[in-house]
Amino acid sequence: MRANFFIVSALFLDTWGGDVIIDIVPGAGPNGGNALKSSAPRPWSDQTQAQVLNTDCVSAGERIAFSAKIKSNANCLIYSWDSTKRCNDIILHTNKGGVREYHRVATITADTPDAGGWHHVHGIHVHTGNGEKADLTKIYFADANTGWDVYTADVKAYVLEQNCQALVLNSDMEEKDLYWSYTDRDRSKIKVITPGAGGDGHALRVYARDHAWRGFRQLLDSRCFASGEEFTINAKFRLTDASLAGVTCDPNYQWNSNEGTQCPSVVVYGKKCPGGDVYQQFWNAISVRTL
Amino acid sequence: MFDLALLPELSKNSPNELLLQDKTWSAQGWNNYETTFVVNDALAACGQVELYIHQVNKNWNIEIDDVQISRRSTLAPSLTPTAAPTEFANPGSSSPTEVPTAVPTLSTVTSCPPIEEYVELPAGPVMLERSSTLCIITKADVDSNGTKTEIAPVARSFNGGDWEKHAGEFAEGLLYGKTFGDYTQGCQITLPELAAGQKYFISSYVDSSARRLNQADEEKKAIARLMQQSTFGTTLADFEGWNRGPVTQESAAEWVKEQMLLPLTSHREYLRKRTNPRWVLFCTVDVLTSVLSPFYSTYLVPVDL
Repeated sequence: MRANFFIVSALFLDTWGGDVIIDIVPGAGPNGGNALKSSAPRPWSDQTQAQVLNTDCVSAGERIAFSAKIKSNANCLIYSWDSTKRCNDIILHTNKGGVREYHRVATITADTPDAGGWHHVHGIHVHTGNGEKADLTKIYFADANTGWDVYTADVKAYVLEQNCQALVLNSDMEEKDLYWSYTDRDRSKIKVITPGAGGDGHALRVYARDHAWRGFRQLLDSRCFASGEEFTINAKFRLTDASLAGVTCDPNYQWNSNEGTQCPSVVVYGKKCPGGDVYQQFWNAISVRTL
Repeated sequence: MFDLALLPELSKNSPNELLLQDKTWSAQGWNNYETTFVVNDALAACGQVELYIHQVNKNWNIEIDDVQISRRSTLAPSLTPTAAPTEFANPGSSSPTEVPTAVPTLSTVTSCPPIEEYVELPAGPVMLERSSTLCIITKADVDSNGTKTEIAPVARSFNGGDWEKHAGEFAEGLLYGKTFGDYTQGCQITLPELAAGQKYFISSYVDSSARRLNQADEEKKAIARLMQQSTFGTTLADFEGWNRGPVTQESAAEWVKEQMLLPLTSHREYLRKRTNPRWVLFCTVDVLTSVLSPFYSTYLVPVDL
């Protein structure tokens, strides 16, 4: 169940910065619906369409999911940091008593847009103490070339309910890459592939990796991790080479080597911890030779 | 006890054979992954927790599906609690006497490889076992032929001690702001990413002093250390004049006692003759001792001036 508290409507449209022209374009949306356009030239790369949010119902520590469809009149580079070529991300700005925060809450994960040229930008954000009941909370679409028009549609922001029985969201990839992201920007690419492990549906592939560290990640609900709780991790993995031929790893090689034969493992990575980051890596218990 | 009769397949295969067949990796199909873990105090204290699937050969693609983390247990009580405890469970028990050690945060502990074997260490978090030999992590520039140049030490552990940053500008700069977390099973640090063509290596070394010194040299080293610590500057003659055998508490005490019985010589006089030849006497010992501290009146003699 999702608690939507944010619905795009012409009544609530706004801009980030002045001198930005925005228009509702009927029929330009992903399914023939409306799209919102901020027209080039835009004065600054982060000056686009925006909206003020009321997040008074969200407490610090709760997770907010952001999702939107976005495209421009030029082919942006999804993973690039180059301000003249990159695609838009969603930035969340809060101001509470003069304390300003800016969070990059949603980015594009998958490497290809849909047939209409729309990219899916999405992400999960943990609401901060300074964001709780802030004087101003606003999202905008930042960082694309100022010479490009920016179209947005299907913009959503919703609170994710706590579910400690199933921590991974979109675990079967049936919502494609939603909630999933890369470990490091511009160091690998992610593709939605078909069919998935069951012979249908979807799966995700990370490729063009420049280091063993590159892979997938998803923000989990840290409130579920109480000391002494026991969790089971399940997954299905496949490894391929650059030509997409299957490759074999060695379940007994349990060493993180950049070009080693180790099989996939799962890492639960704690951050913002009192004693520094907590990195717990778990090898496959059912593929280790125990005799 | 493992009951072989419960596994009918074992009648066709030896136990090892069966398990090895079950636990190999299929290159063509999807491979199941499963494990369990218990949340420790360190993880429970974190403000943000993320799932990572990575640490695979960089030349391979990783494909994932049906990834889930499910809670197996609950900490909630299974019975309705009583209003108040009716009795002490164990009146004789006492509080724990020791503070528990911190829980290791990485499940994999990296040991130091054998001497002269260089093992590549990827960037990122690593739990390092304390080393009884001298174990050093180095950075090296590696060319296409595998030749290592520009080798610089980064961190070290020896004599079973905690891992620490290595001395030197490179290590200080690279690990600026980073500290080793000390745990029961080892020391953890996140090694930063290096520039292209650079890699980390971990290797053991024989301590140079241990390799070079025999018993006689060790005794000379002890004599030199004693004289260095107890004199203003030892001489080769003093050093070679030592005739008391190995340095022990007794022999050192005898030597100090003997030194104190020798005629007094002035280090200050020695120094002045060589460092300040134009110094002009402008006052006498009497003048100084009358106006200055008891130190001067006690320890200054005319030859000092």
